[in-house]
Amino acid sequence: MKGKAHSLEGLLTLVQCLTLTCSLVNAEPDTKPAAERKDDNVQLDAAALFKLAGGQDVRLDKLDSKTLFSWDKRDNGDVLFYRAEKQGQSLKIELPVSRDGYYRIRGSHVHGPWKPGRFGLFKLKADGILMPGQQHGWYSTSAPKHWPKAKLHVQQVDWGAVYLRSPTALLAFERIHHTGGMFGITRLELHSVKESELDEEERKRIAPPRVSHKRGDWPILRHNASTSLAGKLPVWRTGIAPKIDGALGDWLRGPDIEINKTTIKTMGFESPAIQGNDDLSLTARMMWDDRFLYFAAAVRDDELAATVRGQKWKGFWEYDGVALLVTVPPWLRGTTRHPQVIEKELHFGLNYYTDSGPRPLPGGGRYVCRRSPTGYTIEAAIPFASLGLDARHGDRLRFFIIAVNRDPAKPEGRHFGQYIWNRTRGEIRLVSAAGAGAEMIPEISHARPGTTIRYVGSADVFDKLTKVSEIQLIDLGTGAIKRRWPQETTLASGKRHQLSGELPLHGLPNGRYSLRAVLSD
Amino acid sequence: MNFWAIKFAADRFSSRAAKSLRCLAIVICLSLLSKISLHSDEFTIGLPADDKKGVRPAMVGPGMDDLHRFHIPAGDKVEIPQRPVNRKVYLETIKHWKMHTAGWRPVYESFCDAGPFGVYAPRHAFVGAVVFKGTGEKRFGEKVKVQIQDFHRALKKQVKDKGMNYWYMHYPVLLELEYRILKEGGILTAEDEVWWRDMILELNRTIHVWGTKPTYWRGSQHRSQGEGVMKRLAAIKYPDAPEAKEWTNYFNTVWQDWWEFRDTSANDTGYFFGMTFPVIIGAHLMGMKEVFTDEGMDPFWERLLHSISSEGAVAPYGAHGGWNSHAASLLWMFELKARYSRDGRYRWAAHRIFNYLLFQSERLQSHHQPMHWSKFGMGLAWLFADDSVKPVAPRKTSTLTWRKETLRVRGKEGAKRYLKNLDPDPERAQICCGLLVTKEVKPHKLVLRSGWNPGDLFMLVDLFPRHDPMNPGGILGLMRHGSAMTMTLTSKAETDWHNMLMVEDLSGIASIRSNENPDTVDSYRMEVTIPTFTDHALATHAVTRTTDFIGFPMMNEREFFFVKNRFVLVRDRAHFEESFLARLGPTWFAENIGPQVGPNWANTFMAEPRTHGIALKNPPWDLLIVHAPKPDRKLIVRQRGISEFKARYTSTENMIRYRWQGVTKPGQVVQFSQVLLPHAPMRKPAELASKIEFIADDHEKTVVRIQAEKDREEWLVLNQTGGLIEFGKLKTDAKQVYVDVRDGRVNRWLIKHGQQLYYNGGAVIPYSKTPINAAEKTADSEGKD
Repeated sequence: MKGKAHSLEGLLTLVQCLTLTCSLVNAEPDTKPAAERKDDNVQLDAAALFKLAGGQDVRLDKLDSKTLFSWDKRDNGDVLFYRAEKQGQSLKIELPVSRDGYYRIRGSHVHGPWKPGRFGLFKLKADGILMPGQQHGWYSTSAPKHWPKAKLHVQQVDWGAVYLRSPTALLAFERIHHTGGMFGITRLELHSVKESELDEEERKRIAPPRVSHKRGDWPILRHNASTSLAGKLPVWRTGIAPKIDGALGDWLRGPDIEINKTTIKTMGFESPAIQGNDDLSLTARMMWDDRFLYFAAAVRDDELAATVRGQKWKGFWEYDGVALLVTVPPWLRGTTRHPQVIEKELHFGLNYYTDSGPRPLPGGGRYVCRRSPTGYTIEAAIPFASLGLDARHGDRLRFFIIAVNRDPAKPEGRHFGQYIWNRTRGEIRLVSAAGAGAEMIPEISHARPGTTIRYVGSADVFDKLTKVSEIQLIDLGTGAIKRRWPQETTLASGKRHQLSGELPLHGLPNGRYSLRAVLSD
Repeated sequence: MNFWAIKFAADRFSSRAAKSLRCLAIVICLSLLSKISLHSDEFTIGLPADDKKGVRPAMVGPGMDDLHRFHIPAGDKVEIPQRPVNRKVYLETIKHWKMHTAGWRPVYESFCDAGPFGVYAPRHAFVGAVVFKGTGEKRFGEKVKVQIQDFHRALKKQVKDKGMNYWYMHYPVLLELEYRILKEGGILTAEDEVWWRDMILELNRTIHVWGTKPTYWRGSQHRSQGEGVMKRLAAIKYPDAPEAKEWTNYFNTVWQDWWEFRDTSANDTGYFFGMTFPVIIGAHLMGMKEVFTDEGMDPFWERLLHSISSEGAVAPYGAHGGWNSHAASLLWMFELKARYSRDGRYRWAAHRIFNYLLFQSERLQSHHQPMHWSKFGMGLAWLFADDSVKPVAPRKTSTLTWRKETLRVRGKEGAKRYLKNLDPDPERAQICCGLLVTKEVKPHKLVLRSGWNPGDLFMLVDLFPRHDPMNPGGILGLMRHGSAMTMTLTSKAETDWHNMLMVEDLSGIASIRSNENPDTVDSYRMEVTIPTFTDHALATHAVTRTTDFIGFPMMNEREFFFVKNRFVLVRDRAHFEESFLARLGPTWFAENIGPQVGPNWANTFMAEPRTHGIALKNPPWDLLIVHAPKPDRKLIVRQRGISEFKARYTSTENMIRYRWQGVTKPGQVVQFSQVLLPHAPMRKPAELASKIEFIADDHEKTVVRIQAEKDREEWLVLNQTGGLIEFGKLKTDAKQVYVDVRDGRVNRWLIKHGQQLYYNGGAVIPYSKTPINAAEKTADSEGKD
């Protein structure tokens, strides 16, 4: 059972989606007779709950028949009152659970002196699982002025049944209505129930397993979550370097970056909105090889401002063009592939020019602009050496683009605009021909021999279904693969996948290492 | 040239990748930090790591070589005189303060000899108008008139050269005040009325508040409100002006951009006063008493009242001009508030502010900016003060303050959802600063106060989850014995991590909880709640919770156990919702760190808090910061490196941080506990640090024993589960406990949510079947709730 629970935990964490959760319901049978589980029941009165409600805005009061219309005779009149200041706030109580299994949660709750449904509403989440029961909130412990004889009621609420896990379950009574923040409990009970007594909906309610934080408890690879790839741009590896001449015929692959009136929401201060595609719009693409990051853009611009003519270039906001802003992320800095720390963001101003020649770029970068019927083209090669980086497949770089539009002949207020791509967290990922890339970042910089090392990482899958087929430990001194951990973790396409895990290091000699995730179709 | 343009563009940019563009300060600050503390995608096995443990000398900060501080009276021996204040005192002070535009001589001696003030005349001539009204000496009135005429010439030149003026903030209301003073004093002739009218109408006809083409700005901020007030004042004064109706209509609209909400946008001590200057004086001039008396304005005024220290100092935050930089603005605002509301608390607070300004007067008068603004504020205070309102001390309790939500909208387009009647003309109704307010109420500040006696321990904590810089839970100000122990960087960055839990994602994979509202450009949309806030005679206990903390997938719970006039226990509990490689830990920014630092503690102090590049007085008093020691933490001492410009307005160039690093998991909680103990300066604080013992610090409880004084033992307990705990002489099941033992006897105590408290076997609170909400015994009293 222990091993089974462990594997279930792994599965549940692997994909936390409802369908999988549902399929697991039958794998968690609880056939112990209810009579044997009598001791599993939990009953707590208000005073005991008050102690468990730790540090929240709670108060323990004693009510009597002057205030209460009726109450459960088992109670002594103690009521735990909680006040939620606003919607979304919840009273959290962590109840002891002696063993894993299904429980029905019942409460004796104070009902305010208002017509049910008129004010307030509280719902319960048991270890994050939304329960079907509900209870109305109200305004205060005293009766309303215009209804002085009104009394509080105590009523039973069946919050529903749910599968809980030992040793504790976190019950959160959440205010979900904009009025009526008062909530009162006189008693709370957990009753162990047989699975066979539950209906299908109830059986689906299974609290997720608790996550272990102990060292050595983690799996080799855990797929934590999948998130959107919005703002993340794949840069495909190319075997043939494009010719940097401003002619874009050799740019065949890669998703387009679009900057136009529709796509751009982020603008420089006082920048006017783009008036239309002729005013300013561009389509750009990127590629990479071992030495360069390539960038190409076809820009539509109905007014090209004057360019440098024999003078020194001013700042790149002074001319039409595109600025690329690139930063090597922290996990690549100071490595053998990036020994020289270049801390600041590097800016590459790819300004339109005519007879002056292009603006000099940092680190030996070069670009060419060419006039087109509707504007101009840009083609650039940014050496990774300018970033101090020996780039590899899977690397992520922080990256964003600012298009600059100078229109001195247009009406006042439309002389200058800056348009920023990407509004969300901009990154590029150097991907293989398969359209995926991953990195693995160790938790610490120095590990003791014979211990374990945790890591965290991400895999971006832009194209087709991919899997992590192996995790490798590379000896950076020799380049040899020192360890392999075969895996079969499937990664859906169109997502960023967050990964983590823990790897044993026993038997490895002292030295410098890195981790690699092998992705395959 | 367009650095600022792109900076503002980046301000609207929500990407963490673009953080470096968002604020120069944060670029410099964070880059310098990470330069030293890299994390790479490689690791070594078997190589030695970690630096040496144990007490280290640390000499960080300009004050570290200042041995002088050990030879002058320490904070507890320094008196900040609390003189009675009335209008006569204000006037005499103004007359004797220097005037840099008149040869750095006293106002009374020099004002009438001064050369032309030109474009500055409405401000610099104001003190002359005050002296004229206060003394009746006509030479001052005549000189004011001459100066305003000179301003009129400067205005004409400005309009001729630039086609517009941008004097919306101070001048319109000041000119009206000066007009009334001169008129009442018989200085203005019929001929003067003519040029005065020309001047005011020209000022209003050529106003372009940004120095750009758009006019008739909207929003709750300084430019739009300044423009609205100036146009309304002109329309009232000259109703026959052809534009009077349009100006009045505009005012009626733009005024509602703040009045409907009874609040304005800026969460700072800089721009905020740019808005209040025209609005509050404008309300006075226009007879809008409701600004001072409407109960909907109470949160606005109350939060200002409670934000000052017991000495009358204003700890700066947000974008500001340095330590106490805008205190003089509060001075006159409080006098005016008291005059209309008859609420003597505001006069009382104003007088504290005034006495603190006098305490700093020598330093303030060494630089023209603080000298001018302080004197100017005193002049307004004199004008507005009503000596018949008796000063009354505010309640001496800790306080939670509230304010309306601030949003930074995506220009006029984004504002359409929030503001009514936006003029469709593209040259009109642009939104000042892109800022506006909504009707949603948010926590503003947590004010932890020991009392109102000068020298009382005071702490100001930021709670506001909107408007850059966002530092929820950050300790903005801490004062003891009149000594400031920290101050913020003047900043518009996303966050400065100011004395709060600082979080970094070293792996770049945490999903960012961005603001998804397409009409706004705020980076994040955190929420702050205060599940617990209770104030007692001995201590204040408060818990703040911030969800989506600075955009990270986590919630931080920060707990304060503030023992009045003793120390503060601060506990952070970071609840993670995702896996990422995190580096986190509470920060403390100070001017000086040392003279000793240990593996889990550091001594800090501020010698001279800055404003406008000058150093103000700060009575010597130190702050010892002791963290609950943990083997997986490291104390980092670092210079944050700020620009020369910013260094003019802050002294806290150094930072300590007690740091944890690791891969987080959903459901994981990482806890940090620290004690902040103010104390007299000492060369070897290691011994004192050793007297602060974290007896326990885990997810269920934190127990601290402090033996900072001979024959005195103090205990702090945070025991959130309410389980029975027994450590040494102390046994309790209360959730919060403070015990003060002197000479072996329990002298003072406080318990919350418990049934028993025993010390050394003796029952302080014998076991009671019914839990006690709260009970305490001060030295001479006992109370139960």
